[in-house]
Amino acid sequence: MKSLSAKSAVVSFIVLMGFWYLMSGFFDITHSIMGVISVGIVMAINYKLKRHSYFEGETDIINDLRLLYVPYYFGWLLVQIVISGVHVAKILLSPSLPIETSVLKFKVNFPNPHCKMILGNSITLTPGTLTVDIQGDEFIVHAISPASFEGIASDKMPQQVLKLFTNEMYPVVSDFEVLHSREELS
Amino acid sequence: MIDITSVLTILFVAAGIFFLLVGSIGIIRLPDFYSRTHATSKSDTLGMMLVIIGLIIYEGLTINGGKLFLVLLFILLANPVGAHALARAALNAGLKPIFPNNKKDKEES
Amino acid sequence: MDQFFLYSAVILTAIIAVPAYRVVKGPTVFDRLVGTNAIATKTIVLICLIGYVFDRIGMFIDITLAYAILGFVGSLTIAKYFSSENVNVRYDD
Repeated sequence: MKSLSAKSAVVSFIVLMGFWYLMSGFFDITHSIMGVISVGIVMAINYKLKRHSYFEGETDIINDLRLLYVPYYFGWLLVQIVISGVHVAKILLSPSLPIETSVLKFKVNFPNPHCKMILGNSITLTPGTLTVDIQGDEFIVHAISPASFEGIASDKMPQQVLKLFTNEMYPVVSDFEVLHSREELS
Repeated sequence: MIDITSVLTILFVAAGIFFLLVGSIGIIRLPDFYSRTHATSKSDTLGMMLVIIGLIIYEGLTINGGKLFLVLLFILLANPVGAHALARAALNAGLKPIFPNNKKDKEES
Repeated sequence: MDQFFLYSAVILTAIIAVPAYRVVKGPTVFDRLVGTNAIATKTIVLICLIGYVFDRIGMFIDITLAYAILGFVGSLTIAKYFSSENVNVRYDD
């Protein structure tokens, strides 16, 4: 069990209300009251689900997240998605198909499990890399070409994720290794 | 009459359809399962984002535009999660990736 | 503009037919699943475009949302189902 802050409740209320207005399309007083009642029921049902902690060391994400950095992070991610799309398209459309696949293994050191989730999604969306599995602190990542995992090897992307949660910077990735054959991948 | 909204819509939708085509070609051309997942998770996400951004520009600031934005957000979150779930299932089932530069693997496959 | 959306929808239909080759050919279960997943995600865009062709986007966008959520949950469930070492990944051995 973890404790939920008031900030978390307010943010989820605002998000659910926005969803209600978007789906109904009416802004008059009757529909607003119905919306408040539905949002209250949804939050009451989800209260236990949100308090349960699924992983060790899980914290209240809304309280820890630095909300000012979220738009900056999404902008950075969008640029990365465009770069990755063009990169993969270039590989696929060249007649010789210059792929050189490899599997990366590395350990991360993050303050909470949400960081790992965000990093896994970001790795999948950025140039030529795909998160295959996360076991504890160890990531297994499939890369399509050597140029594509420079961002992880140089610790640039994990630092961006860390910036979402805390101010102090420290190296996140350790024990970085690149596998090139089936025998090494047991 | 040509106005700026139509031109932007046509540009975005055409670019998006190009990236969707690249994703389809990738699924046919690439040699093994893990590299095919690259094609679906990256080119398809970018292509769908571009088409839906084009439609949002055409629609303007209405309720339907907001719903299209919701579809965009959902795709952005769901597509990598689905690709990751499939790749993880394949690894657990014992499917090994092919390394084309490794001679031994080439002979096996 | 209606003409443009109509032609885009036709071209997109042709693109959607391409991964069907992977679904039929295989060779492993997961290759087939990637093919179906690609078809499902591209269909989301196709439904949006058809909504503009028929000028009924208000109705079609709700169908799109429901379709996206159903497809996502379906692919997660199938991935969970095949996620064990007892799965025989190749049909032909």
